[in-house]
Amino acid sequence: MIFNKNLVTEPLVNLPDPVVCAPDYISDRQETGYSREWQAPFLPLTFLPELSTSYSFTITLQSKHTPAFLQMGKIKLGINDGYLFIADLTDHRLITTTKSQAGVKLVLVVKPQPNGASYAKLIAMDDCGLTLATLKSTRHLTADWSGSINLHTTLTALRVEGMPSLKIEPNPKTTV
Amino acid sequence: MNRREFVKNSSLTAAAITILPEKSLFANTAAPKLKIAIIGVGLRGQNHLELLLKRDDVELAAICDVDERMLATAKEMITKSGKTMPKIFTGESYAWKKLLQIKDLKAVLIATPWEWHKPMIIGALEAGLKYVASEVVIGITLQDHWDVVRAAEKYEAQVMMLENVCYRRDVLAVLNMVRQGIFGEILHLQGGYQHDLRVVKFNDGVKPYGGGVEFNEKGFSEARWRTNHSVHRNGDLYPTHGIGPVAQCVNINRGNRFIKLSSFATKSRSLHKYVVDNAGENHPNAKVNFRLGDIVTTTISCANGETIILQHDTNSPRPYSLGFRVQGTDGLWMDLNNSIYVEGKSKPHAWDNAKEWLDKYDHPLWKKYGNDAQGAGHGGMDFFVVHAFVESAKRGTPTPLDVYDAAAWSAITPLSEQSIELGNETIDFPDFTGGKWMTRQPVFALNDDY
Repeated sequence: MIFNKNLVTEPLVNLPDPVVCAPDYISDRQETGYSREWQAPFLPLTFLPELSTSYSFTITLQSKHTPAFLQMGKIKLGINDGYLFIADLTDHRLITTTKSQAGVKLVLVVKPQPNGASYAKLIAMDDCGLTLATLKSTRHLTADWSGSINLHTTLTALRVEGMPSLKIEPNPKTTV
Repeated sequence: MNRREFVKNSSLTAAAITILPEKSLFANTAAPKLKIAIIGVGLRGQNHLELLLKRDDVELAAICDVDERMLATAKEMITKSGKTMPKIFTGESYAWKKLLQIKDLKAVLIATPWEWHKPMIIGALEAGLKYVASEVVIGITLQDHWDVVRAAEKYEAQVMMLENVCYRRDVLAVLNMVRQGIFGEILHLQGGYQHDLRVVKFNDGVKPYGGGVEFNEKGFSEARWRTNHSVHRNGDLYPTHGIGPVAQCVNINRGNRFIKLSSFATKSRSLHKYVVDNAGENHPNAKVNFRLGDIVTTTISCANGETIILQHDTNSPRPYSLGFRVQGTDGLWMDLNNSIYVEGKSKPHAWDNAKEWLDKYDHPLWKKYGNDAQGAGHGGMDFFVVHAFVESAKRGTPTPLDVYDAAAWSAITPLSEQSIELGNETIDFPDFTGGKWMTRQPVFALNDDY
């Protein structure tokens, strides 16, 4: 018998260590990050997240129906009539009802920019995780995102991730 | 027995093993044979058939195909091999479902047109098979990929995509070098499928390669189905040969994962040009609008900070190349110029011929089975991928390439299509492992076993 000479568990080459390879943000988020998740029917309609908008943050919402949108601070965003929008900016690509019939996931990523500005990207995905449309905006200040989150639709899930507002010093890169 | 006698006897034993007929090397008289079937015995399936016929540790229980010509060739191969003729399933598109009902069937190997892979994989799992091998790719839409992953999880079965390039000799030697840190920390990788397939996509309906500009029902072999994907789709239609090997270098799904992807396609020109050049402007196929861009370039980012560039180039005239590049903080390998550079070992700013390095770090699998792989398809790498599947099924162990690998590599196609559709948008890559990538351990080619 030629096969079965070596045990499967006997490595002949050095193994990488997946733990060492794991990305930093995983441990960072666990140690210092702000991450809260709500599942329906426990979803509040209006609440104040303890989230610092001086750092990058992500909001993920899932809905079985469109339109689906929320307001964060001064800015309203979501999907309406099949189009993504952030405040008065609207994407030109139509998300057909066929594509969103099984539900839609919206992911908002906001990153602070120099001089108090912000970069926002809103992504719509289907239930497979396939990106259906995206919309980017640099029209708003970091401060515009601060404040309560108001939900304008029935969501099935909401997750807010970022850095907590309490123990964070102002970011020198984003201060005017 | 003194030492001299021991050495002499051992040498005689080794010589006896060496001169045994090849098929006897795969005999396993102690264990029951693996009862296996093949769905699809076209040209690709015949490669696998040839490999299985050489093994005495498998029992080929059945073959299935709807093409009488391909079936006739397969039967001829079986007759020539001296093996028992298996059951034949044919006559209708779903004959394979009857094949899956064979009692005590342990494994199935699928080598059919792409669009059949998902239903056949899931059909095999629903029939109770625990080992399913499929040719690349495993689905068309992203939903297809999730369906296969969830079915494999539900039935606790192994689904292995037969990505043979992972076993290419130079690829495995470079993986060995990566794991031993020769290139330092890996930063960037490249690969692709750069293969002029014009004579595969078009033929005369009689021969499999070239001689005409026909496809679909007037074509033969792959031209009957593959070309149609170039008519209707624009993306990296064949990513796995390029991504599989480089994914192993950075432990995708095992401590790392693909995070984002963006794709760009050139205009589509070369398939139309081929039709016009070979059959004139008045041929009906000269009016076909091919959607597939001649060259599709995809960039992928990974959780651990690496980047990957893939290229799909199957329409334009060019020599074959998968265009591999594996680059780290200490050096790099490029297969196109067969070169390696390692800082501190190579002359500054000068390439080493890769051969010395690749010989030095030849993978234990090739050292052990290089002779057995001689003559097997695609430079021997087909031997290894089938061997790995058969050995896993025989032993009841996980396959070294699993359903998460299959899904992540194969899903590049629908994701790249979507990126191009959205105007080259950077889009998120789904995590088929559901977070398990953070703790899963590497298992591929860790030793000389399989």
